[in-house]
Amino acid sequence: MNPIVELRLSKTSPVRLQYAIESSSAKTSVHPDVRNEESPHVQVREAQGQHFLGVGLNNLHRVEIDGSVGDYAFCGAHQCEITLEGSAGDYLAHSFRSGVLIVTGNAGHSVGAMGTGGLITVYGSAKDRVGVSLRGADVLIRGNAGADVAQGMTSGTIIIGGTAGENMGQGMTGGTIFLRGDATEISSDIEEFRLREPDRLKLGLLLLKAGIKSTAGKEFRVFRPKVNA
Amino acid sequence: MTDPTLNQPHRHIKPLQDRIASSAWSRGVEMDLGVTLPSGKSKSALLWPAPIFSRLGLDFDLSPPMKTALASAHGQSGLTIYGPWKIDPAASCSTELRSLAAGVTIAPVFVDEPFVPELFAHVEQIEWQFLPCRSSPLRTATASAWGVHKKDWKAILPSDLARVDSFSARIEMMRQWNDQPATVVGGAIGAGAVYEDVRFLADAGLDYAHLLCDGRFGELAHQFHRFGNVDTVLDQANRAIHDSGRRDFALAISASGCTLESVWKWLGAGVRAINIDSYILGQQPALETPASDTFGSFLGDYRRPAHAATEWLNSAVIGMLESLASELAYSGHQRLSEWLDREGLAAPAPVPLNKKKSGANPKNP
Repeated sequence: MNPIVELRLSKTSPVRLQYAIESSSAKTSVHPDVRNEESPHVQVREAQGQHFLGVGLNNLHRVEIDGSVGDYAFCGAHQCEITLEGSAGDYLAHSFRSGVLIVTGNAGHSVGAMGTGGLITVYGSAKDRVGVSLRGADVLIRGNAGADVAQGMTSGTIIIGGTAGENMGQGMTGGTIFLRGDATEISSDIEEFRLREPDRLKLGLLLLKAGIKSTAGKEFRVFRPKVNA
Repeated sequence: MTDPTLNQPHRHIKPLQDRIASSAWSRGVEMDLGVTLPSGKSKSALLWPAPIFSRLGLDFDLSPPMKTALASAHGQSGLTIYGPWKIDPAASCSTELRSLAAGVTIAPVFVDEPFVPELFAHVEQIEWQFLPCRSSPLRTATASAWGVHKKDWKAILPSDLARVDSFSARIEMMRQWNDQPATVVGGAIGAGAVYEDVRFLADAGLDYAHLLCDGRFGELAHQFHRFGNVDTVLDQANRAIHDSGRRDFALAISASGCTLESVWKWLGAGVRAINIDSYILGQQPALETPASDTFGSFLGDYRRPAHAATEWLNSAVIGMLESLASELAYSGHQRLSEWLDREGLAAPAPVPLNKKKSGANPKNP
């Protein structure tokens, strides 16, 4: 049974959430790099759009946050399952390393920028520059995305359930974009590929992991960097 | 352009009556070469034990003896270095092991790499590298020393930052995440469009700009690329600081031809910290016998090996500091910060490193 820690952000510095959790749960016997059954289940209340919430969160069984958060939320977090019942500001999950993040509302620009691992899911829509400089993480936007999706992306996966804005895939050198709707403009750095069975499997797994019921059917289009770009 | 004669030490020498009364002449009085770097909007500042630093470990792959020598100079002479994980992976950056006398450790942030919060939790100084350093994957030409070209120091803005306000927010995040009482955050830029770049750094909320007038890529004295003239660079940087209205914004400089005289000149021109890599490498520590050892020419087989020669590094740093102290004493001052104040560079009161800011204790946030 994982211990439950309940925190109120009115009494805790948002950027020091990890320290507050460690102090509250007093889990001194747990190695910081090894997630185990003793990792706490954290419930955070009264999030009122504070910036820098949950920077460096790690080794937590489950984190539930009630309310919207500001910029740079969950920057550099790893080994956590985080659910945010609200919306997020800019640079959500910047440099995200591992684990799963689910945001039930909308997000600002640069979702998942420079993320190296894990899955970042936004059930609503996101502004510009989704997955900018992505380095291996998976980003799922259920709604629409703004301009410059996957700019400078080197690896990882971006799934857009709605439409994408201008200049999708500019400077992209690796990774995959799954797009269900239309893109206003597609960069010349990428090209459309045929949706093959491995792509469908990957898509289905990521949607399942994000808690989205979908047949992961043929309606998604696949984009990758040009082979000889 | 700044009049070089204005920066000469003799301009700041106290009158005779003050110098006689000064205790700086007394035997046994310890000269204080400490300088302070302001930290953010707070009134606190970080104290450097000496206004000198080395970025050898950042720009190219040092030989193991040089790494040891650099770490030794850091611990014994107060030479500020980048690391410590870049210099000695076994060294810890925990708060308990940090000592003011051991010099400051600067944690580099490579502009286009993911942010790892744990690396910046306890460091006292953070410096953004707006150029691809050796440790950065952006620099591809690391196979041989001569494969490193001038373009390897080209200016780079993080690809995920498009606006000054986004950069300001990230700097603020780093300050709040860090548990030091005075976290100094700066940016290193290759001298190019200095006015515009310094304005950008000052407007973004950084505390200082590190201006690279040259870039080193080897342990030999001639292995460097020059980017800009020091006088011109400092003139442009000071103008940018003046125009930005950030009187507390500091400057650090890396330039070749660093001598005792140039140190005083640059300090007088508003620089708070000076890279002494060219001074160190000018003594050719990578050779089997240092150039300053005149016996090496005829002792033949009795020449010292390279690892013994690098032990000289610490002595060289100490010698330079003693020379600086001597110059300072001659001017009638006991504290370097007092000498700098005469230039209108009054620094805020430093905060001891062992004093935590309230609520910053990781165990008691």
